[in-house]
Amino acid sequence: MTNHLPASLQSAAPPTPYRRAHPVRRFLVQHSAALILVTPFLLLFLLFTIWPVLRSLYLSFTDYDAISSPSLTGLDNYRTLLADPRFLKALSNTATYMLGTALLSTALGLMLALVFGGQRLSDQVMRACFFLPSVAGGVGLISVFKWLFSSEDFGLINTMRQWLHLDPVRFLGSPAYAVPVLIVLAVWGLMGYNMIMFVAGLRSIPGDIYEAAAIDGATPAQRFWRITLPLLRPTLLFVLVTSMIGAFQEFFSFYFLFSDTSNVGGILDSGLSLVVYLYDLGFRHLQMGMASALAWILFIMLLLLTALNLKLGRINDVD
Amino acid sequence: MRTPLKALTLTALLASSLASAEKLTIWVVGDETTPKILQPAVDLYKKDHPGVTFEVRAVPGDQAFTKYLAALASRSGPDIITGYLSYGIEIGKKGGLINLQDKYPALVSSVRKTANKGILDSITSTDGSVYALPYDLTVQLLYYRKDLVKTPPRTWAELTGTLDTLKASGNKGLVQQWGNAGWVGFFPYLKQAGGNLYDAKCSQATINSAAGVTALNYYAQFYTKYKGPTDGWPDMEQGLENGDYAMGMTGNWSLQSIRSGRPKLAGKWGITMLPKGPAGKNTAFEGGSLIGIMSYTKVPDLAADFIRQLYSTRTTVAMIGGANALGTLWLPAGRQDLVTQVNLPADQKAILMRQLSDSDGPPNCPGWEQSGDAVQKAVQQVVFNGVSAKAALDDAAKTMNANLSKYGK
Repeated sequence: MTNHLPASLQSAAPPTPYRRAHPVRRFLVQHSAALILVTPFLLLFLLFTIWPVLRSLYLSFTDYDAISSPSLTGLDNYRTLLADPRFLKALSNTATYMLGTALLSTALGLMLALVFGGQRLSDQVMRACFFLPSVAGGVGLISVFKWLFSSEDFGLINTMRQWLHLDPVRFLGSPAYAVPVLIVLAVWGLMGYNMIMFVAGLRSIPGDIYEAAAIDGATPAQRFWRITLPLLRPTLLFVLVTSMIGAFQEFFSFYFLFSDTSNVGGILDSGLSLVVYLYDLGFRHLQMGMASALAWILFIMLLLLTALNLKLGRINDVD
Repeated sequence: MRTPLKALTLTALLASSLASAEKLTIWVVGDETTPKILQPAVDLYKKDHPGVTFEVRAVPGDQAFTKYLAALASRSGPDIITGYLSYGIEIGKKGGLINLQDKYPALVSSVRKTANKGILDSITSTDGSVYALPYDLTVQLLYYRKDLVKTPPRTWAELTGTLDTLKASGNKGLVQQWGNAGWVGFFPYLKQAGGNLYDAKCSQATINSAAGVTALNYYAQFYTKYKGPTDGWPDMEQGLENGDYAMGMTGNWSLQSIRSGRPKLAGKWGITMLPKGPAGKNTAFEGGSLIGIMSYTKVPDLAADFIRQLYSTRTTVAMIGGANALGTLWLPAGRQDLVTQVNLPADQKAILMRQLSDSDGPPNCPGWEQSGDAVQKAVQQVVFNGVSAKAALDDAAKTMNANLSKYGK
């Protein structure tokens, strides 16, 4: 067997103790400066992120009221939650809200991007107008919507209905309207943001593809379905999945529109979401163990959504 | 040089340790006005005890429970807290508040003589423990537009009669703000009909009694027949000002805010007691807040002494006066005899006092905190889904009894 190593290496000195060191030690020595620099962050990350997460997992298997010591109860919290009508109602509200918000804000965002995606001044002004709501979020905005949707004659929408001689609608006082009102509020705030994402995505599609398609006689509809949509799929997936995850975690609009001093969730829990229910269990009823279990159920659901995103992304790669 | 420096350091350390031993940290639930209401009590106490220092901080209502729990978990934070009525038994039973009945029985016994009975009953545990004392109170009242309702209703029949008259003339009827289409709204009617949430010994739920059914059927028609607004917290004052509503039901806070914030309503509005039900009672729901001492405090005796002073005539009157100067209405729950000091027109004050003498707070039965949602659901099932009052209340009673067993152990 021939030795293929160059002569310079063959005559090299025998391996130094440094080379023989344990891989972990070698890693520590090699990256000591970097490790010293990241240690403060790592410590804070472990203390304030990893530890609470692990602690909440442990608490989800206990009966814990935040004052007395937790006592292990196994899977009781999970069993109780899965049989709890309030949890199921919160889950169904959240799922409806998530689907409605994600689909509508994505579709409207794409539509706006197609209409106002150009470089004309009017397009830029319109984009700024539609993007503004996603900047001006927060509790104040929800309060404004609460006033807009008031069932009374001084609620703006009902005042306008009155001008048209239409009967007032109990937007905030009827179980049927709770989730639709929340979806309207969310879509209004989200569609401008999605529009910007789609504008960026549309600009990444090379113009010569469209030119070639036009020369081949493709109609605008064919160009949209056969070129724009397939090439926009990564953006579409990103927008759809981030909208879904955001909708799953929404708290403020549910809480501020449908909670009062003696109740959260509104009429017959029509405005109860999973996160609001988590808050109710943990901070109004001191059932921290149950709230932790709910947090983990929520986490698993979001994990599944993310996995779906990755899977769809891979399908895209294959295509 | 060294010796004086050492002496100076030692003196400073001693002084700071003494000062910290004589410091009271108080967290009060509410907005930035609430510490100002307590300030006269702090000033008077400091006058008598110059060595004591105070730190008084407002805690927003929606964050209070969480902040108190965090303080308990870390065993640091306030020595004294104020909180909503449920906090006393809820936190106290878990060891978060000192049982005042055990540790300071004389203080509890003296407050019992002057406090609002309904509030006191609500915060006294079924085993006699008192983890906190009444701090302030709020009570429901019926507000009305004098130009739209000539004679305020005094009975259930008169109330629905007034609503019929208003409806016939094209006017809207009643807007309920506090407890709208929920258990707090239903509560007074239950009491006025002679019913109750639980029996006197908290051994079983009695909400599904005949009186309960009568009350819920009567209450539900405000929404089904008379189409009252069902939003969570409708703007009663705006409704009255616009003339959209002729009557409104909410807490006494609107007595002050209508006067200061609704000039268009000047001279056009009045208040009356809640209408009398079949049991001959005008009972209104009353809420409020309580004051307690955290179990981990290092200065329990000082905290108890400050609270003791809070109920003295001099301090209570000073606090009411301070609130009056701030343009707000503070009703001392521990000194109901001094509520007359509040800044209100004589006729309104007389009605407020009469309503206070026939008012009741939430029950003190184990598991009530966990059962409120079930009663809320029962009320809403009848109002929105047309479920029979008996069936809905039976369901609520089932949950209440289950929670009695679970939390009464």
